[in-house]
Amino acid sequence: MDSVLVGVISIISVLTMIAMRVPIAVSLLGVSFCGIYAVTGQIPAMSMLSTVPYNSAASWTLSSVPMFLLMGYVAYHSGLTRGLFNAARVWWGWLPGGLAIASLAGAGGFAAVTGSSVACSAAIGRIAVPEMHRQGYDIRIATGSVAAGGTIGALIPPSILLILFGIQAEVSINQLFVGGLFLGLLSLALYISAVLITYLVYPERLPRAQSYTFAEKITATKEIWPVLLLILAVFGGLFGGFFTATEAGAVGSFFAILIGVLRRTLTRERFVESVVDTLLASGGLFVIAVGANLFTRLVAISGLSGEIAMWMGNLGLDTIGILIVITLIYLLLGMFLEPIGAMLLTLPLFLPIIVSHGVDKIWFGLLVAKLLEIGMITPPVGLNVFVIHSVSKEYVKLEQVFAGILPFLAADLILIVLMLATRSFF
Amino acid sequence: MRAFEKFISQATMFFGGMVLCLMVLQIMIDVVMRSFFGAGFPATVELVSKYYMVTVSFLPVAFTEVKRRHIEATIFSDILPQSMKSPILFGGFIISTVVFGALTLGTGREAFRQTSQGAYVEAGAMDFYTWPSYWILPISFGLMTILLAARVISVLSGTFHDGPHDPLEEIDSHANGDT
Repeated sequence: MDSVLVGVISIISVLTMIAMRVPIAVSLLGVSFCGIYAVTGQIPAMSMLSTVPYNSAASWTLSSVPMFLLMGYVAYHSGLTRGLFNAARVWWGWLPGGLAIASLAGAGGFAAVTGSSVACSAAIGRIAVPEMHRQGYDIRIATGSVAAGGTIGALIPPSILLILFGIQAEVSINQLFVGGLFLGLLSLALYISAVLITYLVYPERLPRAQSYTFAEKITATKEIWPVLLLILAVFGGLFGGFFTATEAGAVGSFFAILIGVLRRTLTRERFVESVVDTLLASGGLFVIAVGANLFTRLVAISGLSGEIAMWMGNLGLDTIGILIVITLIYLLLGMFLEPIGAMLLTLPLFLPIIVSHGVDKIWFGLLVAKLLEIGMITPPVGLNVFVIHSVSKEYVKLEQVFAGILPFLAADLILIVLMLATRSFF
Repeated sequence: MRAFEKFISQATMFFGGMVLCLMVLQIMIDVVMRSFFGAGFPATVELVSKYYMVTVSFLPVAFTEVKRRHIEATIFSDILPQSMKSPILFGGFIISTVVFGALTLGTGREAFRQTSQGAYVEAGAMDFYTWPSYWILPISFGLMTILLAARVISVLSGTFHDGPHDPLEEIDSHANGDT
């Protein structure tokens, strides 16, 4: 059989299997093995199946993923970041839409200790949504701001999505983290602008909260010094060139545990929960990475990526045209698939194309992360929206949360257009 | 079935948890030693990548299935009528069993090969044996294959029940060994 045809059938098979609820890892592994077998024969296919899993996982760089996962889960379960929203509320609550702004700032702070968008939404949502509800905020904007704020969790380092992109695309994790920090802060600024514009149009939806004395502000800030110290130690070490990403994750986990124990918020049960969540996330994630590694080999062996690039060239698409098509595909995929799965599934196809067009891989990684995070707040499968709905079921309907994300979605789309228009800027 | 799931959960929590903690501690010690004594803990990179990382990556695969946390798209199957859901679940488990069975065989073969060669890497002045780490894969994938085969039987006998996924519940999972 023609090898390109094998590649095409493989892609259709993977998508069909995923739609039929076969786990993404199994779809990638099974189809890749069959495809490689069809193109190269039994011996190379068995050889890859035997060696790729070990070689994919036995990586120093990849070991930063469980370390950052553990740090994030320990911070989440021990309530390490509980004071973040409170401190932001005391400082900025009096502003127009101040509590929504404080939620976003709290999410930005939590993002610096976790790589998970869902954990970020849940942690801030639990505290911020009831507070905004109590203060008479429109429930749509209250829930929407927290759901959107959570997406910053996967942009501001540590970001599991960016680490996996870096490994797959063979680019510097540190450079991705610096870019992620910038993009995360820019997203935060745009989300805050969305709150302020909403206030200008509908002031009654975002009543001003009380203001606090300077002494109260200092007291609230004192509460969060351990988190600030943790963030400073981890990222100072990482960006200052003292640690690798793995070491930063391990040091971060160690200090998160130490702070939790010293503050007596990390009980034995919560520590076990953090470890279990890390193991469960790892068990689901690395086996997809192995599948993606095999799928990359299949795409290369079958000559499919070259064929797609040629096909796009024949359509008369230039670089920006191709980027727009890829952007639309990611927005669509993000509506149905969880970000890590969607990214690992598609990178084998898209990376060779964007590299052949001279697009910077770091910039592309940031674009992909941003696009897939938008999928976390868009229907029908917006995981952050589901989480926020779960923590505030008593007073909000799911469709109200989806309505609440509209201003933030508009901000995201502006950012995507800006990114596409100023490619070299990021 | 429940006893087997409990065994997987407890074994993963014990060994996986221990390895995760060792990983944090050893890297911490390595960073401290390097900063203050000029030389890190011997063979940290090799131990972390060849043993700890392989364990943390693959040992929890079966545990993740026990908790039904493998990443899958439920959006399309959710809108199908109830009568279609069971065959889809059944098909998914059959495919998964075959794929993980093949992985067990492939990685088992590789483990035998590495063992017979006495595989090692050079870490500074010493030889660091890596062949035992290759056995982590067939053991992990073997457990997963057995669990999936048991799932196939459960679906056939009508005793398998799959609840709706709640993302909040997923990050608030309780850490007991029961399912």
